[in-house]
Amino acid sequence: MKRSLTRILYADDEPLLRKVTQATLEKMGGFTVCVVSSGQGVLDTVDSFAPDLILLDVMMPEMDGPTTLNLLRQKPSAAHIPVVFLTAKAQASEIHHLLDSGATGLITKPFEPHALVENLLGIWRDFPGVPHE
Amino acid sequence: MSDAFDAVMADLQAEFQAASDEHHAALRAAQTAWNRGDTAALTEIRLRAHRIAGVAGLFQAGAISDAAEAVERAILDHRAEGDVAVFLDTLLEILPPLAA
Repeated sequence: MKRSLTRILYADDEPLLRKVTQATLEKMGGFTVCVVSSGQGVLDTVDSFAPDLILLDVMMPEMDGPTTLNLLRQKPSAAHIPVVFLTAKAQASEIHHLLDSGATGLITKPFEPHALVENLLGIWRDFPGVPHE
Repeated sequence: MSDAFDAVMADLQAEFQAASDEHHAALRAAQTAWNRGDTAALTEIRLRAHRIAGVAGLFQAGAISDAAEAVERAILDHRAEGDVAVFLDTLLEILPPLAA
């Protein structure tokens, strides 16, 4: 039986968006969530938190989402973890480029709260690398 | 929606209002600088618009989100300055102004 999605590491530089997304993931999705404000925060936290999935904002200062993903893929302990990008609708033209960069999925902002949870569960279901219980 | 989620969102609504006020003031300042020829101010406008577009839609402020997205897209697409100015004016018109 496929393991369920329970632990999500989430990075976004926008404080209010972090709060809304965290509330959505915790209160509506029932996930255990670790929230950081930067790509470096993801790299610093990924080993200790051991997420099932990483949710990454694309446009962050200093280290953007694609750069963070690239560094995660070079890290043996984190290379297998599915990464989902959160991106603005205005950057939707970059969807193919973002997916080609190795992301497992992509969700556009703003999102409907229930849709965020459903989309993440769908991405998790379709991800072939999820270990079984 | 769960009651717990609704309670959190109600609390965050005030933060959204405060953030909107701050964005409005910052966009006005950047608009003034841009009109004086400070091209770097356009980057500030684009980044602010990006932030507003992402957040506003979560607080049932879809029109604000769409207006902010139009500003961001116009700048990313290198549209004429006049077009960007029109989109920015539209955003500033509907973004909640500084609280009295």
